[in-house]
Amino acid sequence: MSQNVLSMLETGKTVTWPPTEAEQKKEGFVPREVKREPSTERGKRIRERFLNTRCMLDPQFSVHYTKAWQENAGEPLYIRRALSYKYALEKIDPVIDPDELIVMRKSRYMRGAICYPQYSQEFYKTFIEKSAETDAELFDVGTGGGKKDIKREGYRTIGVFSIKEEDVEPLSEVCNYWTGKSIEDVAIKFLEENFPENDDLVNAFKVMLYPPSVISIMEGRWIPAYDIIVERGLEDVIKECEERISNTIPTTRDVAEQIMFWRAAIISCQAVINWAKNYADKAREMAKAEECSERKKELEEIAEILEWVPAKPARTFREAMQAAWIGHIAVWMDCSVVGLSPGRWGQLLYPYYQKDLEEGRLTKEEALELMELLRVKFASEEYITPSSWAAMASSNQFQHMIVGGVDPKTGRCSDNELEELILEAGISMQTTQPTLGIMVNPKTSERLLMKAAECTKAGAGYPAWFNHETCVKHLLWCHAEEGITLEDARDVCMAGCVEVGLQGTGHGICHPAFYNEVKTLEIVLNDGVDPRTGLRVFEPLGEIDSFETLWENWCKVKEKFMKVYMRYWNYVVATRRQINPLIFSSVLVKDCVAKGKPMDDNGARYNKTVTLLNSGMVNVANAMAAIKKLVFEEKKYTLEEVCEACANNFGYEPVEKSGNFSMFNQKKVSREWEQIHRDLLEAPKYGNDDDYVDSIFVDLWEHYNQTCFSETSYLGYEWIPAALSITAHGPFGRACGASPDGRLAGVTLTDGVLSATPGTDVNGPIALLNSGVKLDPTPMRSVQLNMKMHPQSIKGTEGSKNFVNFIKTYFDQGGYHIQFNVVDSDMLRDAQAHPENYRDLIVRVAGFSAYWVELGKPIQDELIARTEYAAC
Amino acid sequence: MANLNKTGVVFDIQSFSTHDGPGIRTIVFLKGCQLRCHWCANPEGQNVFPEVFYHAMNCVGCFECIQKCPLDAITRAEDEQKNKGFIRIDRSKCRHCPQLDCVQACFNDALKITGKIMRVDEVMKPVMRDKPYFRDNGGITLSGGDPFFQHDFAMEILKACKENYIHTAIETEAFAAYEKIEATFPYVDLYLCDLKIMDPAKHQQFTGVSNKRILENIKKMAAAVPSKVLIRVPVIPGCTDDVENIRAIAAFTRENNLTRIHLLPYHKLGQPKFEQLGREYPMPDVQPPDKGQMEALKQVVEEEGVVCVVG
Repeated sequence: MSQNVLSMLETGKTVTWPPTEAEQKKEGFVPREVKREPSTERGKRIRERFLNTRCMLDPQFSVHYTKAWQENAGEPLYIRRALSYKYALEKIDPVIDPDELIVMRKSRYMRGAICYPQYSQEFYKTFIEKSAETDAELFDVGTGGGKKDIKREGYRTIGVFSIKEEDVEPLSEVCNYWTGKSIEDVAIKFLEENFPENDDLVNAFKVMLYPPSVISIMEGRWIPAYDIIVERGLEDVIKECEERISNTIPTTRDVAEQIMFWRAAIISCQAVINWAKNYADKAREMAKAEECSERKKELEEIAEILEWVPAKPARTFREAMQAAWIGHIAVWMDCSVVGLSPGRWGQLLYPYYQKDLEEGRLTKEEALELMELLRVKFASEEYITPSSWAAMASSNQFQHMIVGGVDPKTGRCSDNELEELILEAGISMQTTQPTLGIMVNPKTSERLLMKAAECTKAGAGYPAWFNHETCVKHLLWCHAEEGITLEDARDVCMAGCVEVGLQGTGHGICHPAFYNEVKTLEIVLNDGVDPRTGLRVFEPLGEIDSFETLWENWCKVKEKFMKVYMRYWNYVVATRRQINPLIFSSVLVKDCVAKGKPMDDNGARYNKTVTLLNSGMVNVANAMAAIKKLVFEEKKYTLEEVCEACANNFGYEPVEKSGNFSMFNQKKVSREWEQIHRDLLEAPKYGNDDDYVDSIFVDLWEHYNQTCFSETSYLGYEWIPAALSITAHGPFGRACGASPDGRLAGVTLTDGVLSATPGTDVNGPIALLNSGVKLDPTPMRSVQLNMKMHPQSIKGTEGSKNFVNFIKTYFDQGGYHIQFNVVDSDMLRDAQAHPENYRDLIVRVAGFSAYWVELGKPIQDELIARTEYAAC
Repeated sequence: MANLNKTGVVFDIQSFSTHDGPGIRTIVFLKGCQLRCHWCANPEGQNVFPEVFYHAMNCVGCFECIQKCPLDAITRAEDEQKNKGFIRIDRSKCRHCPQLDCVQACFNDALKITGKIMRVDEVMKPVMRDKPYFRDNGGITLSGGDPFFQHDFAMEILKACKENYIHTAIETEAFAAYEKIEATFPYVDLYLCDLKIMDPAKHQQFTGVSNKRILENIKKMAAAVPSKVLIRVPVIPGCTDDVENIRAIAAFTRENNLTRIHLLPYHKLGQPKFEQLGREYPMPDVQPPDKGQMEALKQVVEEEGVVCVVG
């Protein structure tokens, strides 16, 4: 095993499995088996436009919002929020692009992001001033790759985003207004004044046990109840609220607040209806001026649709899709959300699809085109974040659409043709959004599974594959105390990348972000001090003379900082409730309107959804196994010797010099530690079905889970453990020194949750999966496994069948999730060298797909380094 | 009952294999083969004993291995040819000692051992691990080398598989004594028989042995267990790829009432391994056949009334 990793260090070659394949130098690389183009010329034009469009920051909404917010200062909070939302939505410019059929978007630009200064204003200012941020050096890795900064007259640019000069001044004014009033500013003050562990919090941020604050994009990871806007229409919601108001006398404060919420809901619904009307007017105006008669007709159709939905129930497939889309972005305007997921649109829209087909209003080809265009709509909605988060998440929107699963009422297979079209559009219109997932149930049809296999072979990394029954089991377990029904549990989706979500009935997974596991181990091994900053963050722990002591110290430090992190977040949300309670978002979550309460006040049907994430557990498990074996059992080295070897980076020069953030092509400058390095690498490694290390891995998770359960969230329920890393393993790795698992300083941590460290899984994919299923996913909101497969290994129909069988067996064994990069490593290397040729190359990163050229280099390196499974 | 303590020499076990037999399979590669085919893809499977691979590209010339070798089998290279590395291993002196001092001394992945003595139960461990993934149609494939070279060991593995209801396949040259092949009938579900060249002299030239016994064996197997025999032909330019040869193989297949032939296009996977074992690759200039040629040969087979699959 060490030979694999050492070989990577020396030669820079990806370890492939089986190893015999690695020894062969192929000429060129194997292309993806499935590759298709958009089905219509319209689709091709829109895709081209999308790929060539720069991301734009658009402050228009926030300027209007802030104006109204100030003007409505005397109103009750919910009403003030709703009035500001309404004023801003009605004021922003409607923009319809050429060729568009499904219209409306958050900003004036195709790849536009709006601002939410009420969350955090500081980084917009920074953006404007182009000055560096805290830890910018460490985190400025989210913008690597092929997107070039092109200087344009009248624009300012940072990274991938530009802003018009004329927008700079208004945005600055808005930011000045929110200074001291935004959630972030108020939360910091509130924490300083009231949080007993505030010093620990500050230290933990400094040493990067936690990534920099994510308050600016804190909302998300839920699935709106689109059926409310599609099947009922917003006028019906307004009617319901009016009735509830007229039947309620404000007896207590709680009841009074219900009335205020319903009133706010009415205002918000009216806002969305008017916003759509503005677009309808715009379409009429454009139709008048349009010379092409075909386009004129299209624009008139667009106007007709928007004059009907979202106010009234949708009548056709196109109306239903348009209404659902409006609901989606209207939520996004309401709050700074990431991971807002459409869920089961194949189920939502199918009755309309079927009816239109029967009545001759729609053809299958037209439906496919709409699905393709919809993909671009999802992909076009950007968000902007501090560059620190960009590094964490590579600015992915994590909008997850799900096919498969069952009919929630009957438990029967519910696969339909529209779900096949969703997968087909994922092949023919490859965009990073929405990402796709398939819920695999024993009843799932082979037809849908084979279509999903075909889609996987197109190489964009989606669909992700989920075990439906495991997800249902989690929900039944997790929400038992809230009395979850079997029907709601069966309607499971993904909220964000791989977190279990409820279809329109659950609170979001609103969390502080990631906990850095490897940093924790570094602090434990250095007696409470962070070696990178020299900062003491924990009292001296004393000598570690046994594995048991090591474990105890680990638990002490970890519990401390996990608890601080979770408590911190409760303070943050406490301030958020006072500044930005969610109004329209709550309208589209059951049962907020019935309860008269917003989501952040337990208005949703299910609320035990607040999670904590982490990154680097595999590294820690491998490190602990190596220490246990070499130091405490074989006594070949002392713990000091291991730490010293780590401190000296095992004799390698810093990764910054090589510019490579995986274990590739690193230069050895001293041979002094090569024996200990090899021994550490040869110690048992997770991913080989070896109980020695796998049991430590499971124990680590069990402790993590119990620590989560020990704290109460801001909704009054236990915190829930979730496991995924997005791309946090990149920047976290750069902040951590060499670790006893043999990883060099600065090298990206092991991605995902159940994935093995590149090069250390030497017994093939099944051994890796067997290691993975030792961790029971039931109490966890997410578990994740990423696998890289060579296109050759699953070629043809037989290959697809084997591939589906492979996944089904993994799920039979208890697996929860698996996703694939079906791509030749040599192709990725070529893409790194010639990004200009790979503008549309999409790869799977952690829980999501991303454009290769928009990924930071550490993550690109890590992707190439992942063990590649090639069938022999 | 299978004898789980029986030992043999294995040079690889690969799970999730999808090319050697139906479904998802685990391939166990046994060392030892009587043929010396020029195009051999697994030359490390030819000798039955463990051997040292030398990856010249990885060698940094530290010469630690020279000092550690108890038999003075390693020397500094005098003719420092490009890509041939800094050391030479005298294969006649190497006794593949179990402690592997030379491999241990190398920190650069330049020296690696191929071939490991394993017991049947050790082989069965990963097989049983993979068993759920075999589902309805997958299973184990014994490969090599020729598994019959270690007949007794192979036999025990096959028995152990059958005791666990695992589908079994063998990739074989069919060169073994017929009794040995016959003895495996109850334990093998599929024989992937390599048939390379019908012309005896040419067969002798490119594989080192006559094809007489191979043809006789296949004939007998086809009579005894026709549903279990599948003919596989490596298509090697200049050796096996002439139309006459392929047609003759197809005719032979049909005459023996077998119905299917798999044509396997030549690849150069074996070349680097020949070099790492310190041997000359006998056919450095031969290129893999193109798609068109494979299709044409497929047609030849089909003209003889035999079902043909490429790959």
